[in-house]
Amino acid sequence: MTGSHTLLMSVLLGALLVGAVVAPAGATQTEEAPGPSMTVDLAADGDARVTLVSTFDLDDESEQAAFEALQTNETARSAYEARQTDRWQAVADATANRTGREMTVTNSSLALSQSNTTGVATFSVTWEALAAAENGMLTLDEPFASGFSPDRRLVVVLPENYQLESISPGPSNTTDTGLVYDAGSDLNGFSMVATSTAGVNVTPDAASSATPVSDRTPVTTTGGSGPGFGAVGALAALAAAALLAGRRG
Amino acid sequence: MRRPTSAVLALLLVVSAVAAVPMVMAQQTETQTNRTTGHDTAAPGAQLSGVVAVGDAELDGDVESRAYDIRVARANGSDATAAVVADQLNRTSERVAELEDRRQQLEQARDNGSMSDAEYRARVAGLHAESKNAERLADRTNETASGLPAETLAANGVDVTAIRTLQDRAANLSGPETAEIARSIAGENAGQTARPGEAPNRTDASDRGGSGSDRAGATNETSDGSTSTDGGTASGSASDDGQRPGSAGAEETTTVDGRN
Repeated sequence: MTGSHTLLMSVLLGALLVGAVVAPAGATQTEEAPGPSMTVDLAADGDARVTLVSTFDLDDESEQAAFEALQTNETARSAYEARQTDRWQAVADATANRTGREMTVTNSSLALSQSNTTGVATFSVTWEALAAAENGMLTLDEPFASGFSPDRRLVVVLPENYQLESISPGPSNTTDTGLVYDAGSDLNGFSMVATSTAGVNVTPDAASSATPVSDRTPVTTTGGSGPGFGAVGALAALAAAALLAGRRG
Repeated sequence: MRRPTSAVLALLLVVSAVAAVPMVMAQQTETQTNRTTGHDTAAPGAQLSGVVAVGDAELDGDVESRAYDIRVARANGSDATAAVVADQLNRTSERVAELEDRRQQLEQARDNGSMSDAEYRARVAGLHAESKNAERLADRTNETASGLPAETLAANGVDVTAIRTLQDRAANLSGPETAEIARSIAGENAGQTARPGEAPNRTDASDRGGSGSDRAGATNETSDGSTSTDGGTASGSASDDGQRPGSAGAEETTTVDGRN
């Protein structure tokens, strides 16, 4: 190995070490902001944690500072949570009128974060009895069946150990985290039925023994006779990893 | 202000879709129902779409208002402030024109049947909230301009008459029908934001969108304008929309007790 090669290797190693040290601090600057989405994370008792992700372009320094000010203003965030909780409850009341199930919206939260020049707002509520749960069978239709026009990706996540029995209209695609409908999908008449694969009847009365939706992480869902969605997700992840590796190379 | 989904995520979804489509098709059953709820004005799905749109517009409006206040606060002297006013006028004017176009397109789509009444109502509710943002910014700009010398405004290309015209256009964006639709979807407070110095308004159960039962928590407004929210939900009325009790950089006077 020549002197110049040694020097080059030293510089490269040094750069790698410096990169390793400074990377965590700068990680948030390069982290990709999530896209807008609505995720309906169902629990076996029919409750759901509904999470809405909205993104905002922060075009200049004053908008970034304004978003940061909102981020740290608990009063403003609480007022927003309160208004939105009222509205979501009104939607739940209208849905209850259709389904005959009493529904309650609780535990709202608004989280704000920034990624480069994008502001990300994540609003979540727990929607009790969103899906009908009976004898290990979950049925979800309203409010998505009547006039809901998603302006962003809609993701439906099944509880652990549940499989899809039927769904209409069919999702745009699936990932390892759920059934995905693209923005602009026509969901009129939406209906989804999933059943427990655990061999145990789960009823709303068993809610106390079910895992609370807010404590769960997205799970792999399986359906019909096809392979699990996890395999698809793994393929997709490999493809994404290959893409990222290519970009870095 | 929406940002499109990232290219990497989009590719990820495409890859997933290619792999998953045959499987999903096999899983689907013939359970398509014959519901015709697309024209049901009380449809909960349409209401949900409207609530989502209103919520986003309110966050957007909050950030826009705060950003304007920051620009004014950072402006050094009357001349610089007038330049901020001129810039904001251009921004708001473009925004109002865009909203006017969108409202016209929505009405055309509803009238020619290419858009269901339910979707129309959901989109109009969001448009109403965005219109309120534009109206607020036009009012705020007028307030700032009123404190500046006429010659300074003129030197920066600010036409005071044009500000008032813009205020009128912004106010007219949301007519009685639009406001009523927004109220039915998201309550009386659709389009409200909590700017610095502004206390969130009291909750009135009748302000709730849709059928709303009385689940609102108590928000107590005190004589000094401070507000406390305890445990429940709070929302305001639209009765003072357009009135700006606070000023740029005013200190927060609100306190919030824990919720949920």
